[in-house]
Amino acid sequence: MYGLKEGEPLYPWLWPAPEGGMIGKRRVPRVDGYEKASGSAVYTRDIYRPGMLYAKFLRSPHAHAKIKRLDTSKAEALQGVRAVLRYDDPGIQWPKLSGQALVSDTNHWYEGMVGAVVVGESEAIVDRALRLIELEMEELPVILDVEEALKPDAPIMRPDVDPKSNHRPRFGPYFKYGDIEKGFAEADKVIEWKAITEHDVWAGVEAHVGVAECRGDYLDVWHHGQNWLTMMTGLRPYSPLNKIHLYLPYNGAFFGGSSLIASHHTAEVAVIAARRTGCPVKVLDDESHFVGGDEDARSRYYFKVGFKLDGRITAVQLRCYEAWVTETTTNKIYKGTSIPNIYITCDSAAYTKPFDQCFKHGCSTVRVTTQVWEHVAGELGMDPSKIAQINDGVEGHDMAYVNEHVKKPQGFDTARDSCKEVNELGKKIMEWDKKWHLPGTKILPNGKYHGMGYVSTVEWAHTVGTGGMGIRVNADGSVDLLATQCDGGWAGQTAYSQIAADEMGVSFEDIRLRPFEGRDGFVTEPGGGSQGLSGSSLTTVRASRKMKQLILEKVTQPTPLRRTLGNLMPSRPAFFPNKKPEELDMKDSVIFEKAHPENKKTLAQIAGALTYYLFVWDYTMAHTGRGGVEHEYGMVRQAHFVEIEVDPDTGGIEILKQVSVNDGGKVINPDAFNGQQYGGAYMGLSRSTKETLYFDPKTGLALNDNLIGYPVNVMNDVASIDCAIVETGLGYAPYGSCGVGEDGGACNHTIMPTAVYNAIGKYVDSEPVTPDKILKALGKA
Amino acid sequence: MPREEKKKSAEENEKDRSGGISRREFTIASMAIFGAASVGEGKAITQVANKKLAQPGIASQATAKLPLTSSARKISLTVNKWKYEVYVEPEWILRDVLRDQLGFLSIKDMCNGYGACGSCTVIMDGRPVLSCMTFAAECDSATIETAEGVAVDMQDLIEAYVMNHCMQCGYCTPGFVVTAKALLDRIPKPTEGEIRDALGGNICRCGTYTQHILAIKEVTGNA
Ligand code: FES
Ligand code: FES
Repeated sequence: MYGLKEGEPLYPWLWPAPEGGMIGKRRVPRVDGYEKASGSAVYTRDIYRPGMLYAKFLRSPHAHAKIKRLDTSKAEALQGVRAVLRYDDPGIQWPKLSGQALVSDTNHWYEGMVGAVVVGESEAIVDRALRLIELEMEELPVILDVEEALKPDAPIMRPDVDPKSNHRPRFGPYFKYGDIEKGFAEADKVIEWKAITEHDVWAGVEAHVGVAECRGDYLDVWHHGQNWLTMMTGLRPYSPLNKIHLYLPYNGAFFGGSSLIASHHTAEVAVIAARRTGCPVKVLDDESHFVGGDEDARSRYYFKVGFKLDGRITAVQLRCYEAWVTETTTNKIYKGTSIPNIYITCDSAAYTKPFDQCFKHGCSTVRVTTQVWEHVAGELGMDPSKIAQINDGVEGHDMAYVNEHVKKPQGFDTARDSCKEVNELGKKIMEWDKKWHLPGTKILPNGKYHGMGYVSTVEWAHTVGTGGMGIRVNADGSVDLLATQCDGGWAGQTAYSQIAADEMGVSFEDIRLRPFEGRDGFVTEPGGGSQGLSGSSLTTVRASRKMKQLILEKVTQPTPLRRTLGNLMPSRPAFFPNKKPEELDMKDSVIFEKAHPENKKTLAQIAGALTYYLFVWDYTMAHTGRGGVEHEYGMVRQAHFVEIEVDPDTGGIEILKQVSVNDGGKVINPDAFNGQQYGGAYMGLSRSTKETLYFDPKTGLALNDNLIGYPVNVMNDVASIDCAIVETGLGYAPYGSCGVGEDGGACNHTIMPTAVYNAIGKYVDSEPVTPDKILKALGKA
Repeated sequence: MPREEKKKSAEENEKDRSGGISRREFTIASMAIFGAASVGEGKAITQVANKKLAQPGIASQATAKLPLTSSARKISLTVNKWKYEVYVEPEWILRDVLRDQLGFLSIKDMCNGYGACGSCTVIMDGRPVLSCMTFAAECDSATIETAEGVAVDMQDLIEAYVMNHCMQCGYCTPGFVVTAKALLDRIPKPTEGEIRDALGGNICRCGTYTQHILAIKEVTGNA
């Protein structure tokens, strides 16, 4: 395999990380840091084009309604308005993604849906024109609960999709593993319970925006999103793809996608408007933070679990509605436990809920393990971290099996036990063994209940991805990594630069990740961020090694006589005559002879003397890149702990301390890794304790869809967060690494029911766990 | 281009929600009482005198001539030590004038101008203010500092921000930087409590909160 060092195994997880360089180092300056701190970083909202027009949406003012009359004539007549694009415009095919659309293509409208797009010379003109549109609508029934929508006598919400039923399957087939009935028969005890989640939203940062400009046959698009590939695919109807330039500027955080429907369609609407008006158009969707709901918004989970009295779980049956717990969403109770019998059904319905959003994705599936550990431990009077440890395993097998059949043949260290290591470290930092107590048994001198919460699960960004990267050495010795950018803030640019610096032997300061269009093959981070670094580090390593090899070859060869721009360029002797590449090395951008380090040349000297750029590229498919290993097992773990006080009079929760421990396999940038831990903890705890949209049951409209009404954690909401790292080398990416990105946000989202149960001794399996629910559980409301 | 109607629509929204007097009506009523401004249609005057002095390195986004009403007035602003003169309508918001007309793109908007996030913070006459909640017309003769200015004036703060990973997506970061600078101007060696209080109103959805404390302590030698 190209890029493989002599004697190195085929599996990239067994490659040792270069020592003494940038990998694993703290206080590496973030490469995007100065731009972002000084305000010079460019986001899609900061794109302005000469002659640019502005566009905004007319949204459905009702949660569910049918349009009777839409009169846009006054808006069209307003000076400065260039176009009003209506839902029923026969010349427009409005985009759809997986059957969902931002702009309605029927006269049936739902909350969040767009019925017209006004394009004008300024935002002010567009705002004024929107107010001139006359709209008459017939309100239709509202159903806010997925289970209500599935009742036989429920009104049909989407007759255009299915005139007989509201039922919709959720992401493919039900999930079955083992024999569920046998599992229950073997159990000493079987318990059942229900958990629910309310409606949390992205409440994002940079509201959705898209900019498009037609230049003759060519189309330029600026997209606020992370997923270059799916956006490009979405642009197929508008132009041959080789005539589209798709730019992904910095993203005011998306956390993995926000609503793909809304963000992609915003860019596509910009294209449609630019084509219609002949001018560049910026579409601004200022309300988009609160349109839609998370992947688990308004979910219902019905659990039935069988277990032995020693804590071993024999069967997990789950019937869920709305939540994404199918195998396609990485079913964690299957991937990261030894539970032998699992049966999960997931269903959804057409009801009054706008698009799915997805941010810090994975909470639905984490919640399953969190809930199972909590309830089994509760029944047995055990510490939930012990239940997690007892049932640790992979895809129904225990760790002894994994050691023998996975770790050994794949070369992993069988002595490392990720679950044990993250638990032990986290418990030590939290002083768990001293602080944990049986549920409802500790009242503090201040009269408050004391509670300890716990979540643990598999790290899910443990796999290698398919990706590509180009590397160019410029005439001054500086180096460009040509890669697509899907920046969501996790410092991927910095980490890729660290890997490239160490693998090439180039100074970190000389490297820049130059966001490059993926159409040229360098689709780095193709998954849109979830597995960014673990997915694409392999192509980074390989491209870097190719470049180093190319440099060492070039400097040992003479440059022949050649003609450049009509000039005859003299031949040049080799920089290191009579040497072989393997006799040389490069470090800190200096090429030297290993046996005589004083014989050296800088990369800048060499690059300056060449009349061409040094350039390599790599594209590695995941399955070939991982040495033919067919299946990647989830052997890396994470655990999160929280300590709270609950006021029995008000039901208020105070978060005293939070601890996150993640096994990163091998961590490239510990500061950025920690950033995802504490950042995720802040967001996860916020979602777990307070975040929800409230809806008027009559009209179905959200009542707090703005950042004044929708509570998110700010600086003083969490007293202390401790982040710790374990490195077992059990990930499949180079050096045994795995990603951490969304984990903390997803895991901590599910933690509060466990802490509150431990505090008050009563289950409150409804997130967010708000004071009213606690008081109700205490019989006080 | 300034969004002269934006505030109106935001206010109408707010009115719909509150069912009462809107913030803008209240403010305009107060302005009228104090004789600060009167709102009315009038003969349109054209053209905006924009930058008296162009600042190198900052692109102006003022691409079109703006039709103004007779209630427009000329204000002068000193932004990051450069002087500007600009015509503004009474309802124009400072954030839009600074960002859309003068090109200070560090000023962001996370909360749709509700005054909830702090990402539009600028230092005005020594105090951090939310530029989305401030009428430009009220800012005549004001001295303003944005993150672009802090980057020049307080480089060690920016460096501490970079080294301590105070940014993830970075959208909120200029608002934090400006708030931190205002704090350090006022209290050169703040305690952790003072830092928390000063930055307590800024939202960072990425959750970088812990790092701002470290960076500010580092820059003041209080680490
Ligand atoms: S934009 Fe949010 S406070 Fe000003
Ligand atoms: S860094 Fe993303 S919102 Fe603060």
